[in-house]
Amino acid sequence: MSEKKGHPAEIRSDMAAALRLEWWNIGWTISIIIVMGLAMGGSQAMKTAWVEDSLGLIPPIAFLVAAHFEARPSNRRFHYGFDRVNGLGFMIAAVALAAVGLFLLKDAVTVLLSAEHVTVGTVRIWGRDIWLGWFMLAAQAYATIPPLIIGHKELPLATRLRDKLIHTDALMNKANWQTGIAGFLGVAGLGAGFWWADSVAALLISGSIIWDGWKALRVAVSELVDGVPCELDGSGLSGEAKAVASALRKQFPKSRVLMRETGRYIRAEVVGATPPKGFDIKTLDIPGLDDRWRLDSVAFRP
Amino acid sequence: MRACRSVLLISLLAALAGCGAYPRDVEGTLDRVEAQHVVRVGLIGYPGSERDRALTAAFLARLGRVTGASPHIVAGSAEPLLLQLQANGLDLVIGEIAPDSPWITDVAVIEPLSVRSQGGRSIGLSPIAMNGENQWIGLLEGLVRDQTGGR
Repeated sequence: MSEKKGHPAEIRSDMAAALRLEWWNIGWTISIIIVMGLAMGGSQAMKTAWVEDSLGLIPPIAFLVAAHFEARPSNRRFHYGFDRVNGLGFMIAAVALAAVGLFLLKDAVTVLLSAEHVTVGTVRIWGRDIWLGWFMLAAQAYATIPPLIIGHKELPLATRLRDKLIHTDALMNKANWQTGIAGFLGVAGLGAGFWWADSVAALLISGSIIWDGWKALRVAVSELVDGVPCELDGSGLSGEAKAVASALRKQFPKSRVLMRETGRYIRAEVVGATPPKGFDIKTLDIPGLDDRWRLDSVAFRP
Repeated sequence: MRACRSVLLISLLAALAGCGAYPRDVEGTLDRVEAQHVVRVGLIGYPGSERDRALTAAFLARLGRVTGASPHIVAGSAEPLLLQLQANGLDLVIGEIAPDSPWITDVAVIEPLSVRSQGGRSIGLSPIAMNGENQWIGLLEGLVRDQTGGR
């Protein structure tokens, strides 16, 4: 936790798994960026998908940087340690996710308004002229698989680690595989003579991505300005925070309980009470809080 | 559920590929050329050099053999012909165009039949089609490669 070095023992193995997964995520995303870059040709839909895949690198990199800092002990300049670096990374990931949605929306609207007809030519291989769209379809199909699998693996880790940054990365992976399918349908539709196909698909998908990005941004901003601890996928008060508040109110009935979230940890403050002799949060009875590491500290303000 | 969707998607694509020409033209250029036996051609700067005339004639003869269409030729300068092409008033324009011409993204410039140098820059004699006519463009690309030996 904050004033100590490293993560709590209870989450170390999950943290190690998350670090491994995010390195894999970066590796697969780079492979997708290369494959898409080679196949994109003159297709705007492919270029858009390529830019979005590139933006998909931001959350895993932010997580690795945040995890590196989070493990550091407090020092003379940072008395409370680096727990909130995760929150900062969450903010960056949320901006990247919202940017992907807005980028997709802008591109779809531009293509639809300008009625842009995309040209996809051919390449001669061993004497046969092959439509480049087939390579694009293969690249798009490839680009949907890793984010689908990695995003699926990230969700349980994000839940166990209470890590909104990983959760946002899972949403980013969801955005990437959905965009991949939109791109696939777009190129397939283009081949069928429907120039508007990819833009309509992208328009529909951009709505849900922007919504996810907006929700993540709200929570990230809330965390950075000391808002109450939120649920992983929403802006409502988390069940664990409710449990902490309820336990503290029960023990200190005439006081106010304030709470905030620093990264994955909850910090509480009891206003109008002094700590009883021998008070220890480790032994405090908190029904509903199974993962005790989540509560970092309880401060008192008489 | 996702697997079902993927199978459905691939089946749909296979059906599309199997039920006729794929890719298809947005404006149906190749279908119309083959149905009407006429290809509307704009020649930029016609008559031009003897070499360009010979290359253009050879290309149109190849196109005629493959599509069964005769060329209906209109001569003119680049701007009006390319505007006419964009408005679907022509099926094909043949002329010299620089690689950094502002028209490059507005129309589909096929690989050149020949390239010459002017003022230190290269200019290609290329067939030019309307963007999005992917079946037609694929046919033109193949014919150019046949004529130039795929260089």
